[in-house]
Amino acid sequence: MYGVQMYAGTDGDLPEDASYTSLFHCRSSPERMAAVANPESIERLLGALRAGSTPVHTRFLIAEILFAVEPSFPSAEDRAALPVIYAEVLAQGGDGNPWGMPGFWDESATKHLVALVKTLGKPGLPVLRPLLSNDRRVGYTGSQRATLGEAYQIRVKDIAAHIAAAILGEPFPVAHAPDERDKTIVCLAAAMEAP
Amino acid sequence: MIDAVTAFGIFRFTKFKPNDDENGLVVDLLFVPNFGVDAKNFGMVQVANTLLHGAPVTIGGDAVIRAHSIPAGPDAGAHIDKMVGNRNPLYALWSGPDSPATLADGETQSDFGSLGKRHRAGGVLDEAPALLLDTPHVLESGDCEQRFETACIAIAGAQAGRWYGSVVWGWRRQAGQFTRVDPKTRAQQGASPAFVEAVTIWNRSRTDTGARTIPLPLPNAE
Repeated sequence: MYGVQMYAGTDGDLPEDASYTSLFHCRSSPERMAAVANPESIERLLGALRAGSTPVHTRFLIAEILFAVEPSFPSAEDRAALPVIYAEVLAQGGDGNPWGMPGFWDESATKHLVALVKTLGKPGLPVLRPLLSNDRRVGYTGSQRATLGEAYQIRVKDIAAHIAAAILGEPFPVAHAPDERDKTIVCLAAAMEAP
Repeated sequence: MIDAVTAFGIFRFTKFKPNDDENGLVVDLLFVPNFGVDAKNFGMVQVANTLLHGAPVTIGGDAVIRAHSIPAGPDAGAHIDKMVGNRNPLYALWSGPDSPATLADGETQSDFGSLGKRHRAGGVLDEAPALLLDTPHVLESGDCEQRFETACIAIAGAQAGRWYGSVVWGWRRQAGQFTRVDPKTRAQQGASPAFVEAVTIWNRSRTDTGARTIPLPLPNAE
């Protein structure tokens, strides 16, 4: 889906699969992560993360890998840049597996974005605001996960609302019908704009 | 409609077709009991395995599902098909972390189907098929495969704990070509050895909250 060949096979210690999502799943392999957890690889990943020429999906994946293998990540500089990267990836919809499904389970990208925006405080919230009107569908690889995502017709704005609610300390009850969820999303959007 | 017959009934696929994107299936599956069934409730249990480029994928990269999965060998990756927070292995039932540790006390999740029944109350036969709803997908491009074995078990009534057989089915994509793997009876009154192994692993597992999974009786391997 999103190639990361720019890193593949360079020294054998980074994920080598061709697809973005496969790489994301490979991130859960303790052996692969252990192989990446060395100063040279981390330095190289940080360089690519900070390079403006690196595709946004690749930057997102690199950030997720660094969260997993580098306890000191992110630096203050990266912390300010990451919410924009995460929001850009979420805005494109498609693969919901990195995010989880609101009301059912959270994956690491959701947890990280909540933590990142919370650190920034209210000034961090505008990055989520456009996502609350994004109707793009999100799907899930799997069986029960895929079935549940279909049944609820999960969209980008549902995940964004779930994240915004967690940051604001507000509930986001995940109603079965998208129209019902939209009513809550409108209220959340108003809460985000309140002084 | 596709039928797969076991010693205790019929696995009846009333829907079994590719989804619109041809990256998965749309499946509505009934277990229709025969006269040999005497159970206040029975339901389906499913073992799933997703492979990408020939290798099993731990869906979502989730450590809980990974821990539920057969770790190695020809069936590596196969696991009881449940969400990470669910203690109940029945496909259509939900049991949260503080729920009773009994299969039949699970709450029905209608998005996934419902339990069936076939028993007599006051001489009157009370009968309904069990239902399983599934829309398995693989979003990644490239060669992939999803394999399933679905079995049925009585969880309440005279035959509680008895297995009623199993069916295997799935789909694959190779070199861009989508192929259905049509349903076929796998076991008459038990399940495959891989299914038994997945149940064994499930029975000693935990959910994402750390709660213990509700154990299943082991089916006979056929």
